[in-house]
Amino acid sequence: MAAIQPMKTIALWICRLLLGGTFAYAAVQKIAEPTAFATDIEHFRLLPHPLTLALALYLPWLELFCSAAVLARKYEPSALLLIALMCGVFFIALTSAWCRDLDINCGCFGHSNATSALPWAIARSLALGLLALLLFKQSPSVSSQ
Amino acid sequence: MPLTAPTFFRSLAAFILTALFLPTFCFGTLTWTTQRIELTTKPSEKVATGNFHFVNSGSETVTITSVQASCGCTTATLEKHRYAPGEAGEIKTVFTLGDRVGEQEKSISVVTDESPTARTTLLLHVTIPELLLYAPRLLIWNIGDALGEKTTVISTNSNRQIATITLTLPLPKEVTALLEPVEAGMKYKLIVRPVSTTQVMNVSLECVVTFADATSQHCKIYLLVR
Amino acid sequence: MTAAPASPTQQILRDSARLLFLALIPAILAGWLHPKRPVWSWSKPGVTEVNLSEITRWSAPLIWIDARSSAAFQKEHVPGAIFLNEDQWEQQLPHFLEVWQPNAKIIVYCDSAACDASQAVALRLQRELNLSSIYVLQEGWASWLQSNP
Repeated sequence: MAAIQPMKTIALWICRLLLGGTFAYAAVQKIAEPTAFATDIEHFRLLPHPLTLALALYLPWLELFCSAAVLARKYEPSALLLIALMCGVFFIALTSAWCRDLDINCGCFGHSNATSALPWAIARSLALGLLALLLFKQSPSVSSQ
Repeated sequence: MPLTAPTFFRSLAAFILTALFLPTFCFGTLTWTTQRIELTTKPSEKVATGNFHFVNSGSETVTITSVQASCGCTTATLEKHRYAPGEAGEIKTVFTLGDRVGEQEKSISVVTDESPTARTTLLLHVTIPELLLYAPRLLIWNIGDALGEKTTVISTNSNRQIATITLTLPLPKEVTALLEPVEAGMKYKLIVRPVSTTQVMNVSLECVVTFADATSQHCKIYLLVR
Repeated sequence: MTAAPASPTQQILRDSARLLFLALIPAILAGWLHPKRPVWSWSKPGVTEVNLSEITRWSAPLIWIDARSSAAFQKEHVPGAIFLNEDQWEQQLPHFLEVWQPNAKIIVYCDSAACDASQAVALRLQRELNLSSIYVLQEGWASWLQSNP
């Protein structure tokens, strides 16, 4: 049991770095180009225009704060829960776009960066969400309950 | 440590999650000098060209499998498709302006064999100066309307001053027209009156504008009775 | 008397609220100061989009404008549609004006949702000719094909 603990700690840190790093990178791309991100959200045709603009400004900063919280291990369970929630929302939006056969960019990592086909983006949002929930379950304040 | 079922399934889950993640970080080994080119065209130009330079900064040969422009008015061409490590190349884009004016943005999607599901988007942003402005370009009378005159203002939207503006003769017999300066060199008023509004009419008035730099442009105002 | 410590759930909810609030501050500042901030408007800029089921409920005469490429138009188009795009705007505009009527609704379409040629043509008609009752077909030619296989 004692030998497994360091392995488990390392594995959890790798997961944190993956999750926090991915979200931080994605957030920075979108913070740099809010109008382009608003255009990407608009293409999903899910929200009224004013809400699209508000989300394009707010969501990247929430992603950045949550990723910083995960990496700094401050407010970590809350940040992981919010990340899982965001991934759930992305999953629904991307799946909806795929079902409606919309030919759009994911917008996940900024407008003019390498963009992904929708099925791949859907799988990625699911994977990230599950990883966030896994880390949430492993958080000391949660796992001790 | 014995391999128990929970350990096996957790390891499998971790492996699947990691495998799904890895392509996220595979951003491709083509490094672009820029992914956005901004141009402003001159009035005499019919096309705008932008060359997107890249280098294969990876250790494997990269094959560009697809280069697609967002519009049939834009072509994107490559000299070749395979690039060895360290080799540079460029995608030459030619945007045929047609009769477009104002801000135009055309995107070019590039896919390589490294990651067939990911594509890089290059942007060609072109500003096409609109030399003449019409307010409005279409004058409409209803059938049975009084034979009132309607006015449009032709103005220059550039640093170029208008040297001369003349109506092309002969004028259509269905209308009378008069050109007057509002602000010499910058703004002119075209006053038009139909001869009759008892039946449908569809004519146009043409004028020739010569700018101070000796370039010229034809303008056309449409007149309808409906 | 000291207050009872918050339960883990309460703590998580409180911390979530803190994160949600913290992110609001730079977001508001970005909306005010970011050089590339989106321009605020209550409705989506550009010409109104409509879908086929809305169009079928209209009683006004319709003028369909095909903003795709010439080759696509020649191959197939909405019956009675007029070809008008920005490649040959000056050449094609008179043909549109021949059929235009003041009470007609104009619907512009191009290939699909990803194509912006229909918005460009519709906006130009609005701006240059001061026409109203101009709409863009949602999903463009792709939606026409879906309803008319």
